[in-house]
Amino acid sequence: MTITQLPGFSHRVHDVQKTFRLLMDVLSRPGKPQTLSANLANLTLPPDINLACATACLTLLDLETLVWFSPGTNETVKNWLLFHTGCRYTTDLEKAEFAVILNCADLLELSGFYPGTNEAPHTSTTLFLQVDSLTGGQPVIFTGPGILGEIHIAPVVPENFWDEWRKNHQAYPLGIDIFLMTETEVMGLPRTTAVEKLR
Amino acid sequence: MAVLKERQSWMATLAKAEPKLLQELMVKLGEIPAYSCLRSPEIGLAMVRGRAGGTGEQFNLGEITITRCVVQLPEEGISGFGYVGGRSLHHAELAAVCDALLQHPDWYDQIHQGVIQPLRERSQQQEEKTQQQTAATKVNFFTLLRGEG
Repeated sequence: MTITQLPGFSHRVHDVQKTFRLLMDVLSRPGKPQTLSANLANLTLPPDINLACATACLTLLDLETLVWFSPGTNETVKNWLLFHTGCRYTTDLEKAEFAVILNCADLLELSGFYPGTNEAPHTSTTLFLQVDSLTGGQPVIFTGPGILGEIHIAPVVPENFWDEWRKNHQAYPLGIDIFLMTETEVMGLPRTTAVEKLR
Repeated sequence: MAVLKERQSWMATLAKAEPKLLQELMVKLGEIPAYSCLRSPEIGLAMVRGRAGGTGEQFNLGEITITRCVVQLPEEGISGFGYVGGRSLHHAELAAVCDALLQHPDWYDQIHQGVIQPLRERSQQQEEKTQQQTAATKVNFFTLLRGEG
């Protein structure tokens, strides 16, 4: 293993707290993206990973988390996170507590991730999905807890994503939670959110 | 393997050094290459484990506060690690800088003679002093033969 050459957060405690708050807020307000605080922008990133995804990883991963990266992920990214968070990696998708997909075309089906059990639904996988943009894709309507009325949004996701999502939502209280990450914005998509395609 | 042993040995010397003395020795070196923190100094806990008699089952002896730091010499791509006992952020940073410079061929001799040697001498002196003080208080116990037999 090679030691990473890139530093992590410059003000670790404050940066982690700020990011944690942001991630919590976007998950309680599905479909309402939030922008990362500007002073995180000086973070030096390894290739392929975007700023939002990197800060989320540095915040939520630690010695006890088991993380799955989509096959073919750049080793530089893994070494960097290993050094700064001490997280453990797994190739077994069913066991992963966090899953990270840097190229959203790699996402095949959501049912492969661990959905939790009826006794412990909170142990399901949390997925970080990097997307190019939160606008310009297939328009959809979000409804559910944390949403007043409905939200119209059109993130750029793989073609079958919303059909997969319907199955994930119907499995409630089981199912995975997703964070959609662009370079500077994060949007939460918890399992409680119902999504309908807009025609 | 020999390289690893030597590095372990200087890291131990740096970790056990008095921060004040280490600081003085570093100042005497004059200007050192620019470095950046890969991992800024941070304080944490580590569990110290032991084996009774060195061979028994492992047991948890207790927790120790440690401070760690990793610095990097950007031009050479060398990283130096500092792990020290206690809560001195500065001590951990100095130890990490020394570790990085000791891996640098141009700086090895200077750091070895200017920092590591004096620290080792100092710790040896301290040890001898303690031993002398302990020896001076030595008490011999005699058991008198009791006339029971």
